[in-house]
Amino acid sequence: MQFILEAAGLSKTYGQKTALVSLDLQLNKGEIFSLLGPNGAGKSTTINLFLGFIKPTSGQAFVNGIDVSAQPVASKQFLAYIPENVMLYQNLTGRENLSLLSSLAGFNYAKDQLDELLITSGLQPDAIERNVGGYSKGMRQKVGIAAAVARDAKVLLLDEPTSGLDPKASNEFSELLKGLSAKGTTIFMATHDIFRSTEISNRIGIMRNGQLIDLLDHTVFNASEIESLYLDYMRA
Amino acid sequence: MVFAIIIFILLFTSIISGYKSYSILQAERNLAQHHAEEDFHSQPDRHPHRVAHYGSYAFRPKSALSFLDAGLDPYTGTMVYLEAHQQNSANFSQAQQSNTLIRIGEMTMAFVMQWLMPLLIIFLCFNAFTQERENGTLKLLMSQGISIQQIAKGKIMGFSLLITIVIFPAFLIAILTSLVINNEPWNFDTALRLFTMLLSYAAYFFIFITGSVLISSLCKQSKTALIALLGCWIFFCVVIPKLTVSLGDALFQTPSKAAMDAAIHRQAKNGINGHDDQDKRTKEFTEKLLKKYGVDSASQLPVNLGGLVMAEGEAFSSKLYQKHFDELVNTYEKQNNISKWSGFLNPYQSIRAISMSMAGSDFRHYVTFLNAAESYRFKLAQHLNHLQAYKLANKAKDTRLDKSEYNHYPEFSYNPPTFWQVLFPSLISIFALYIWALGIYILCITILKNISIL
Amino acid sequence: MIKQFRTLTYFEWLNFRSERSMLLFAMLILLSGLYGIYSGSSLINNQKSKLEALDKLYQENIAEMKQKFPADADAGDIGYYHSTFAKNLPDNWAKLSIGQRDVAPSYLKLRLLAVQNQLYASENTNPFKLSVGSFDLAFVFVFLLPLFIISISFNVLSSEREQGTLALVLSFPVKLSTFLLAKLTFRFIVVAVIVFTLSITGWLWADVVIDARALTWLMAILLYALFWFSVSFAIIAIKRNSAFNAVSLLGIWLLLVVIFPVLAKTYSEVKIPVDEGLAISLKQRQEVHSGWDKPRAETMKRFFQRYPQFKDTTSVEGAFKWKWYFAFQELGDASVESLFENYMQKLTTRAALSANLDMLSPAAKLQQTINGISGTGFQAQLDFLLASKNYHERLKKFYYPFLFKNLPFTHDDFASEPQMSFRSKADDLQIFNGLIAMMGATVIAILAGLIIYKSSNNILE
Repeated sequence: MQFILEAAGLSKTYGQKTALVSLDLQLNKGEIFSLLGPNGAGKSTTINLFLGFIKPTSGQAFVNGIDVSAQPVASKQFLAYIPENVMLYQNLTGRENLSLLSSLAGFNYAKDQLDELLITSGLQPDAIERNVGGYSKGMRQKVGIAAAVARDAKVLLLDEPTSGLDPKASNEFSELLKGLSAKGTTIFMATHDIFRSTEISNRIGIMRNGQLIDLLDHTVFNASEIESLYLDYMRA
Repeated sequence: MVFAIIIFILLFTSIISGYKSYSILQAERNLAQHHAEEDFHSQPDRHPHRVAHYGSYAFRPKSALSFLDAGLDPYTGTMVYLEAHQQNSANFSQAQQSNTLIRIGEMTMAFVMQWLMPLLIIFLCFNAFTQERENGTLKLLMSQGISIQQIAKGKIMGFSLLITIVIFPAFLIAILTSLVINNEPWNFDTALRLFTMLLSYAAYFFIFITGSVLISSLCKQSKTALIALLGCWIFFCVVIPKLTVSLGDALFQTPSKAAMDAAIHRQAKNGINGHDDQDKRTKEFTEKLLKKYGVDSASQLPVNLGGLVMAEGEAFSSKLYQKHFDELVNTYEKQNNISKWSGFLNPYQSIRAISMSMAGSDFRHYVTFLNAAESYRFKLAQHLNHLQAYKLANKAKDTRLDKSEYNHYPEFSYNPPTFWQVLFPSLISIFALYIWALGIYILCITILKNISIL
Repeated sequence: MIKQFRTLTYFEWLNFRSERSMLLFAMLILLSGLYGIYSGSSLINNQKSKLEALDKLYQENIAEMKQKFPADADAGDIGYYHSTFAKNLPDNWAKLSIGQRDVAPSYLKLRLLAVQNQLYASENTNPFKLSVGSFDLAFVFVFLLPLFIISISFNVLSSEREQGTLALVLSFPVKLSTFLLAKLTFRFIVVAVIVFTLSITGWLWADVVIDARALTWLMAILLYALFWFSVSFAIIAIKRNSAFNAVSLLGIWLLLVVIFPVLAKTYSEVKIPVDEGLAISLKQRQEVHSGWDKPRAETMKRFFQRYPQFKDTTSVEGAFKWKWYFAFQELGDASVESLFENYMQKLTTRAALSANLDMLSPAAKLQQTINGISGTGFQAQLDFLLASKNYHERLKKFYYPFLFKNLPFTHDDFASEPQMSFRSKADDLQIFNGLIAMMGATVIAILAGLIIYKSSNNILE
């Protein structure tokens, strides 16, 4: 069968330094996958390779069966990316930002639709017409999610989505992801947040020095077990 | 390091090219002046008035230091034809003989020092603070108990030292080159001029260094600091100079040469008050002369009446010309004063004025030359008129005078103003420059005392 | 793709509208342009009114002649005392690009005397003003427009990367090249709007005849703008940070707009020194004045070789005769004819040399093109010089029959004296060469940009 997100022997080296070593990974539709690992383990590199921001040294990344290196623009049709810190055009309002991003993906929404998308993503209605320059990190992230929803993405790539969010915002965020997953969106996130990821993920990968050293099914382990496993791996 | 090399190469090439064009132009003029003298002295026996019309030439010598700063030289005439009865314009300026598309300056040391150095200083200093801020090292330094003022002072000192080290060898080369130029013997005057230049440039660079450090400390990002500084540079070195000059031109009108000559001619003919025409003046003069020699008619005079009348006319018209010319120069001075006073707003305009006045290529030096040429013309004409009056019989129109009477007449020479003569009018600019240097330093220190840097 | 392009351009507009620094730059360039139009126009209007005043001086001079010679006059007296003017009338286009018009005189006062002593007279000028140069619209386009272009485009990619918006935008199915092209296109439109606004204002204010020159004018300036966008693109394509881009672009501006032209000018002046002007003056004086000392018959014989139609004229021996005087004036001119040709030749060669060296500077080429359009280039100045010399020939043709056929010069004859007003035309050759050079430079910059773009690192790496 065809996987929605697939890495085949995916590697990236910068000069002497290896960032990712021969990653093999397959994600199914509607799956929530979390990648855990310390800074510099290769999590962001993996995401950047799926996005085509960087070219792999060897191996291939596929999105919905499309080779990212060969067809960078086509592969992005299915992806939505929410970086750790969603940066938007500060001089434009939340609605204008969303309008720009969704029309880049080929969706032209009316004003009301845009507002609805923003509100369902959790943005306060009174913020919609304010310039993004005054938004908090969480508010910007909500616009980012709205953009992902607006473009009807099949895969959501998240880089450290919960870092810097207060517990309430973090919780709302998890709920949102679950909702998206239930609608068939695949979610791939790189994170440090073991508890949040065990709570919502189907599978968890652990990375160190560019290598995926374990793949865990969260139905088998609970959060504290995963934490002790993780710490053991890091000590090794 | 790269900056140092770029600056050095630029300065070096500019000195060489400045020297090269200096020597070519100077040689041309020396040769022409020499030819003119030779021609004058090898005239056959002639009637003195023929000699007066044959006339002489004044070629403007390049001042010794003009190879460092050509100043206005490319835009001033190089040759004045000096003949009886009329004051000719100074002709053959370089600008009239070249296809100059971009009029920004000559490749001389002054161009590099005034125009490019500030830019290089900006490139050097714009991230003095912003980079430390961006890297977070500023916080680290502050936490060590060093005040932001101390850091700023240290940076200003450091950059100043660096610029001094780079400029110094170039200045030495400039001094050595000026020693090679044997046009004018190297003397105390030249030394004073070079020294004043050096001090002024030092202040000029200091202004840009301090200004750059100040802006850098006020901006959050290197990018912003750079843009702000470049904006200042464009404003100071490109836009304001042109603006003030075109303003001066619009505010103070000058007559065309034709209109001025016509006015002089009209006044010479009708008398200054319009009631005292030339014929009447000549009549009165003749009567006075007859009275003086106690004779009844002009034919009885022991002197040549024509020569004396002509001398009288020349004196009258020269005085008129000088009056109009002084007015014209006065208007130009008014136009130029706008630029001079805007030196208080813009250090570039001060340094430019100081530099070219020290190099002997400013407006004042040019006017001194023109006045020297006119005075030589007048004296030569009067000398010849007097030869006619006293050496030729009355009414003798075609008689020739022995050439030995005039062929030893001294050739045109021109004494440029001395250092002290040009220092005084430059004082405003020097003052403005140092006010700027001091002001911006105090501003920098005060602002940094009260600023929360993080 | 086209739809994305439109979207991006539209959002650039929204961004531009709300970004104060960009608006400030745009306002500054517009204001400078308006001042340039005003200042250039006032300079040329000033020249025009001075030229108009010459007519009055001319009439005054004729009135004085009529008073001085109440009856029929000897044409020699008129030739000696009467002066007329060769006028170099500016086209209104000159208000937009003053070119050489402030350094070169806009008229010459001519008498029938040897012309070589009259051709090089200068006008009253303030050398300080000349050295700084005029603030005309051409200056704004040649000097400041590139700075404006650089300042609005140097960080189009780097600032997005530094702000973090680039990664988000590129996670959408958008090609970096589309994104960059949209941004630069939008900015080009802004620049084009400014160029159109200033040009049309300039044309209306200066009251120019709007013909093919207007089209060439716009083409030249837009081409120049395109060149600077291409250079900006080439630097952006290196994909380094904003400060690097700013410093590099400013360095290129300095090199192309300032240093190359200054070097080209200095080099051509050192390479081809022109001292024929001084030599002409000296030799001509020597020749004219030796006329007094030479046998009159010899002078006349040489004169008749040039003007055989007058060889039957009455004798010049005995009392002073004007025709003999003017004969040796003529011979004075003839003696420096070859020097004069050399002089003109050298000036042309030197101008050509510096124009060729200026190939390296599209700024100089734009100036050359719009000077060509406005008829204010160096060639126009030389053309006026030659036209004035021809005018002197026409004066001789008019006066010589009076002189050599001993005809009385009556008061009515003043009315038929030849007049001259020269108005320089657009210089098609200069325009064409300038445009070609700018096109070449633009193509090179675009190609360089594409090569750099292809070979440089991935933008987010």
